[in-house]
Amino acid sequence: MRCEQVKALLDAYADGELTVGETRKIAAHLRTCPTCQREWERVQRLRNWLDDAFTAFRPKPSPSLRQRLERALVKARPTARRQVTTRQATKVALFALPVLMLLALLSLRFNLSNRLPERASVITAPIALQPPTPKPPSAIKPLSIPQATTQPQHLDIVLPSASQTTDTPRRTNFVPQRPQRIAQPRLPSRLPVSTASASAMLTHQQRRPLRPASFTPKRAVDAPLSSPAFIPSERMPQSPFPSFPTELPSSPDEPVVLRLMQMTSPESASSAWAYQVLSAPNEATMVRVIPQGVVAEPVAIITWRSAATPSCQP
Amino acid sequence: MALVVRYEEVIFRLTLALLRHREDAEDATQDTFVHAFCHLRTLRDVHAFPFWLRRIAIRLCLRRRRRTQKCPEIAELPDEWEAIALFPESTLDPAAEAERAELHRLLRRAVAELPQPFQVAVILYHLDGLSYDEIAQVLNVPIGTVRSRLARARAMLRAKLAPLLERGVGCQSSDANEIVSISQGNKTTEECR
Repeated sequence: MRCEQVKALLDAYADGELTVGETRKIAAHLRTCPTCQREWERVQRLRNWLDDAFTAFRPKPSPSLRQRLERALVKARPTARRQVTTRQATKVALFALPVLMLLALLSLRFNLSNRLPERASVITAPIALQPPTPKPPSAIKPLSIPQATTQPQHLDIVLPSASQTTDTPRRTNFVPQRPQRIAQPRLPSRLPVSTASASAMLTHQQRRPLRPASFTPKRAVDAPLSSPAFIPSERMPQSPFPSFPTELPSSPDEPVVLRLMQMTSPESASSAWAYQVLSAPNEATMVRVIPQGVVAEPVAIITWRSAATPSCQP
Repeated sequence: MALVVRYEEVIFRLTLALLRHREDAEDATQDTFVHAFCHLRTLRDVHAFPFWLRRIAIRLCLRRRRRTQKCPEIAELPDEWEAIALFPESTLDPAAEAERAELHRLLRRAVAELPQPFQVAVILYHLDGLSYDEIAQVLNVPIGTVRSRLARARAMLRAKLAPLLERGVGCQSSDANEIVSISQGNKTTEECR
């Protein structure tokens, strides 16, 4: 062994903390090396001094320290118990948390599986118990426009065929909620559809009396075709007949004569339906100006009588 | 309380060696036992209780020392550890007894001036009489670390006490003056020789 290695191990050698092999090597080196022998003497001397100094150092604590310790330990006992309790509670919580979560999930799923049919029954019960509303036999009745209704009313008007007379009451079908389309009579070939049904959405607030009591209807032929008294349709071309003009009264005292016109625009290649009011006295309200370049062709003459039964005269 | 009775003096001696003040050492001893009492459940090996208790005491003392160093009024208190009479019951010659007491005081001051890890290792070995393995358990370090720390600590002490070691003082009353002068740090090695 080199002297540096021996000097590094001399303290452990003096303390007896080396292995047997290291001890033998160092002992052999010390027998042959005077430098390390001198260092070994210094190591031993310091070690003996330290042992002597610290072994003799046996101070006694003051008698009051024992009493202080007793009081402090008694005072710290609840703290120790509380800390132990907290630690145990933490462990219990760590183990119980997954279990509680699992139980919560299971209970939630169980409740859902149990409640779903109940909810479904609650939802479906009124529907299942509600009997289908039979259609009253009075659903089909002559057209009569309600006098005071706040809800919009859909009117399906079945126009007579060309062979029928104008004064004959026509069959009408009044359906409060949903308009029905009934296949019926033939109309002039200009009509794109053989069925002549007109839907009019009349709102009570929109109705207003138009004509005075001295109103005398004109004949349809008297109204020139170029008359600007047109009411453009708002519901074409979904329906072969446009909706009735909303400006018309709900129950006219005197017949109102309308002329159904098909208005086509060569420029835009579009068509629309419009009513020409032939017997309306207040033209300021009824008149619609036909735009230029629009070709209006008469299709039918409709007479709206007081019985709320419009008749069609092609 | 049996543990207190058994380890009270050991812990007080250790805390006094680290703190060098009796009141601080007593406070640290009390804190050590209270801390150990509150955390007794964390001790896994019952046989390691002495080492565990010493580890608590060392930790608390070092914490208290760091706190004390920030307060110069406390740091300037007289060193009671050095002032403790080592051989009150000694029957030796008064002059030789004074010389040895001065040597021991010088040794304790030199140990106290060591860096903290080396100081703790020296105190645990020479004061408590623990082996390297036991010191490793107390400090929770490998045994090789203990060996190196002790070797370096003694090397530092040998370098600091080189004049005394060369002349083998401590047995001759004529060298008492040199010991005092070395302890005061006013003389160099050449002057001592």
